[in-house]
Amino acid sequence: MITAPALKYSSIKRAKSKSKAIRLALIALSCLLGIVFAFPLYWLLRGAFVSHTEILARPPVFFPKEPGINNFRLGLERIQFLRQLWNSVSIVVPYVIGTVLTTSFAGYAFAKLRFPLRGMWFVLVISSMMLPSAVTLLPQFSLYTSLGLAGKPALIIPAFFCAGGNAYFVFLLRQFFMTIPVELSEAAKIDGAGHFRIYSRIMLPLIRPAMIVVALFSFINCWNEFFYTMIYLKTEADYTLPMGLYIVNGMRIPNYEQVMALALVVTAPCLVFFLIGNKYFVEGITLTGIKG
Amino acid sequence: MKVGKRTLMMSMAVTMALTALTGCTGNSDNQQGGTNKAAEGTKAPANAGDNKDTEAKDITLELLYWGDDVQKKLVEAATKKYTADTGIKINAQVLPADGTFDTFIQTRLQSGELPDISYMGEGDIQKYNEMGILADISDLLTDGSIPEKLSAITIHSPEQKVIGVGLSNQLELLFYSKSKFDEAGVAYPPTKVEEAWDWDTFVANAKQLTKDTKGKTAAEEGFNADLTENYGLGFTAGREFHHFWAANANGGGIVSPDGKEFQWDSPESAEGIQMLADLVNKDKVASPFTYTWSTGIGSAVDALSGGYAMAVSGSWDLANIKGNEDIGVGVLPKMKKAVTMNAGAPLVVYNTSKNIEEAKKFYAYMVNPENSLELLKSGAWLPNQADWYTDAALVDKWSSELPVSAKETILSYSTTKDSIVQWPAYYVPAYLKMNTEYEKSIDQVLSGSKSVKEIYDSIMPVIKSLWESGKVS
Amino acid sequence: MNPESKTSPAPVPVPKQAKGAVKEAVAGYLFAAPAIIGFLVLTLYPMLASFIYSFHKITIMSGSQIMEWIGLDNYIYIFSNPSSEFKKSITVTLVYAFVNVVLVIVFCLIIALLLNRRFIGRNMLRAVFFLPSVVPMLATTIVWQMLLQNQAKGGLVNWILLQLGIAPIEFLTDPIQIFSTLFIMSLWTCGGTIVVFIATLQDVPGELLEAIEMDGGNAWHKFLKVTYPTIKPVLFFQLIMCMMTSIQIYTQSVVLSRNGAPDRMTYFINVMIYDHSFVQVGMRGLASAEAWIVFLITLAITIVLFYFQGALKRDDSMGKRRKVRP
Repeated sequence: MITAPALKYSSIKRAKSKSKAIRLALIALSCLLGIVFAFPLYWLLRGAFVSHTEILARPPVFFPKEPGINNFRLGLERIQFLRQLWNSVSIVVPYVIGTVLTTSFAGYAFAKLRFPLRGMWFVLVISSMMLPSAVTLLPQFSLYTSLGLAGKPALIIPAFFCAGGNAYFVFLLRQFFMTIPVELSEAAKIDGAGHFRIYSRIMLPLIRPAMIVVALFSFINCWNEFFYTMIYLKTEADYTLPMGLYIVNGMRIPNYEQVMALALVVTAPCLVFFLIGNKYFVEGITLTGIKG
Repeated sequence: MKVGKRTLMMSMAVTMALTALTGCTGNSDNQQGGTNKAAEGTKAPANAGDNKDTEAKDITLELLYWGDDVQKKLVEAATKKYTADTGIKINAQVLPADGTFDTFIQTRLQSGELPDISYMGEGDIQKYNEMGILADISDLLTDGSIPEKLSAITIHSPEQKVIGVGLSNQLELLFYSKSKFDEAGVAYPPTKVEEAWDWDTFVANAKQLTKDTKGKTAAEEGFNADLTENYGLGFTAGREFHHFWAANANGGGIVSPDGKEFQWDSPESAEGIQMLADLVNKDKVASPFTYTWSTGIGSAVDALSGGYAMAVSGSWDLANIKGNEDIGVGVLPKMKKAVTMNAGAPLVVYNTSKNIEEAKKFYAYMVNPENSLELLKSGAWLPNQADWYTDAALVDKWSSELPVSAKETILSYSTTKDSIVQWPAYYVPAYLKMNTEYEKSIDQVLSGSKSVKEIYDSIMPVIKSLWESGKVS
Repeated sequence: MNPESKTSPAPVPVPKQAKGAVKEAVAGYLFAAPAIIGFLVLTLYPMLASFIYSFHKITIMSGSQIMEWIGLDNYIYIFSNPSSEFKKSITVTLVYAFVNVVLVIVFCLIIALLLNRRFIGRNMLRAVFFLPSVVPMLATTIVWQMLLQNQAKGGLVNWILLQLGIAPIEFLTDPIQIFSTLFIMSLWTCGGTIVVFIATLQDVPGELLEAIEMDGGNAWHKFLKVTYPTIKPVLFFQLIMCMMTSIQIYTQSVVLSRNGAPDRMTYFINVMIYDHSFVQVGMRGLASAEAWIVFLITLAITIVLFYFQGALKRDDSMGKRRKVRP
């Protein structure tokens, strides 16, 4: 391998120019695919700004003649926008906080603390990730109903117990905690730090990028939640934004441009968070990505 | 320093999370009560000022309904008027008329929070009656607070108690685009039942209105059906209501009006349904559809401004015409007979209501056509009382703003004997089960992969046995 | 959550070995408590309850739930009654899931390999591929419905096909094509997996790739001998996760159609179980039995996947091998 280069130099050079052409072709292909990927988002954007006559027109209207915010105004009138926005926020915020807290607790425990049956609990907790939600659907509904919690609480509580798909984050964070050298916590222990102190002062700063990823993902999961909101939210005044969108879409209103405007409104926070967190997303996934 | 800040943040986060959680619990437990109280709070003084009927104070009825945009506005207007008249607050909630509606009722049933009054799917009413949650409203009819409604949309329980009357009457109609007909040089569909196009004329006209990308119509040589750009006909959905009229039109039926004869498996019914499916797969004049709501062509009016010349849809689509001069309405084509089918979702009162008497009063208000004039004028609803179709003064009340062709068509149907068949959902207890069974396989017919006869041969024995059982569930 | 904060401020003397171990065990349980309680109350209990439900006929009469023991009737119904929708539902779900998993993994890998080279705009492209995965599925479905519907209703894709002289595809009403629609949407939203793969590809040792090139190996050799073994554990993990999400497909079906149209091809198990639980009446016991069979099937699939991959252990070693990236 080390002695070979001189011999093969010319053939490598030829191969290199050929591979350069391939490389360019591949880059072009990537860009093309990128355009294909971006297009539906553009179509969503377009749909939100075109007029009623333009939205279903043939030939299709690619650029609205007079883009205006009329669709948004009329679309938002269909739902109790502020109310539903508040509902979404009041569910998402505690949900994300709960998720970040409890999954990092569990991740820390399963990675760094030795306790009896740790292995068993870890496998059990993680295995709930593989459980189809349909299995727990009815009993959970009955449980929450009998406790009088069938409503917003039923949508938030799982976050505080690493349930509802959050086992995935436990797994992710545990893997991450495991990359932190033991020596660090040992040193702290010798200094007399308790386990919570080690967790909060040594571990947390180190796993911050992973926790941001967990926060962003749980935000998106919760914001988009739809299966359970349908079951648990029982009055229009309680609906979240995606639920409001679903209702309007389900009513098969003739003004599709307003549905698109609403869809864009519902999507917007995710896009904003993505743009803000893009760096963390990519870095965080790169960091934790090994597992997730 | 830095570490201290972090601990502080952590503890803040925990506190916030806990407060948020408990806060939410508290909130939603009290939500209903809270809003009610607030509502009462604001209303009470107003009432005192107006010196209104003191009994009505402090009552909020919850109404659950469905409807599109136009209907939503009109229902809200109607309830507002009711509140102004009586002081009783109406908390009206709108939902899509699909599984969401059932979910809503069932989840709220379990948590004991049913609305007082709601719309109900024609096919679902027997199911909920069997669950024992619907109030008997026979007394409203006997004491005259509700005048007699069209018998076609008055629903009885198996014990012959009245459990609901239709808010409106709805008919299946043929909508068309005048400009597309003019362009193709085809005469508009007739508005009189006795003049209804026979099937061959209908198909021939639909062919002339169907065009491929080269501009050739389906009636011409060299028409390429694979490249159809404009269709002669579209169905807003394949669902039973848009579908069963064909069985009756061809001399068959689903279940005879007296409920005594099962006609669904008759060769005539099969042939009638086959003729609909053939419009897509053989005649190539309609776009494919399936036996559900969402995959139809959407609003008939939008379809007509798009690539369709005719659309078969319910009369509720009249509300979307809104002065669009291009849209005309005619009678459905005939096979052996010229018939249409009617529907009309009933309103029901839940016996769990705490204000059942007030709910019944509101019920009588809602089903009185006088109080839904706006809905009637828009075309979203047709009157649910027979005299509103015959008494000229009453007819003018609701039909003055409708397109002339629509008015003529509706009046022709309602005054011609035996031209409207009743949707079996009203009088067949096992209907929901039967239709569910039907729905499982009928798409194979609509997509052209099997014939109606093949499918009927395999599913009708089961459906017939469900009908014979006579049970709801 | 509180007990830990009590223990932390207290100055802890240098502990004896045994005392430290007990302390650690207590701390371990306290930290893991939310997860353990969550597992017991929100997963294990409902699972067992669901199992018990599955032997009952559950009806709601005048507002209260009535449970009537009917033994194995629900299971017998599922497997032997011609009206049972289970077989079709599980078939379409599994077909969808398997094909979807293969498509997603292959597609994501290809995109990741394409993007695994330095060029201007690479980061932007990466963002473009990732972006759709944060769009709510509801909005995704609505947009694709607009794009794929019949051209006479304004569907863009079919309109373009028609202008090119190609017969339009009935993406939404044809019982087979509806799957194309679902796959397209699934690929459009798989950006997360792409990003993970890109991240993992950074680990592929460049020296080894060069060595193979020297030996005259082509791109395929490189992939098979070096890239694949490196990314295998991640690939496997993504595969399992993708399988689980695919089996639980729901939103797309209820937004695109109703009751699994066309021809019940989108009547996926979650749609069916939801339908039997909250739309139909008196079928909750049946829904529980269906859910349990689904659970057993997914369990079997997971076990088979793990067995074939033998990746359980490797997965663990990965965590140790990796160092935190600077």
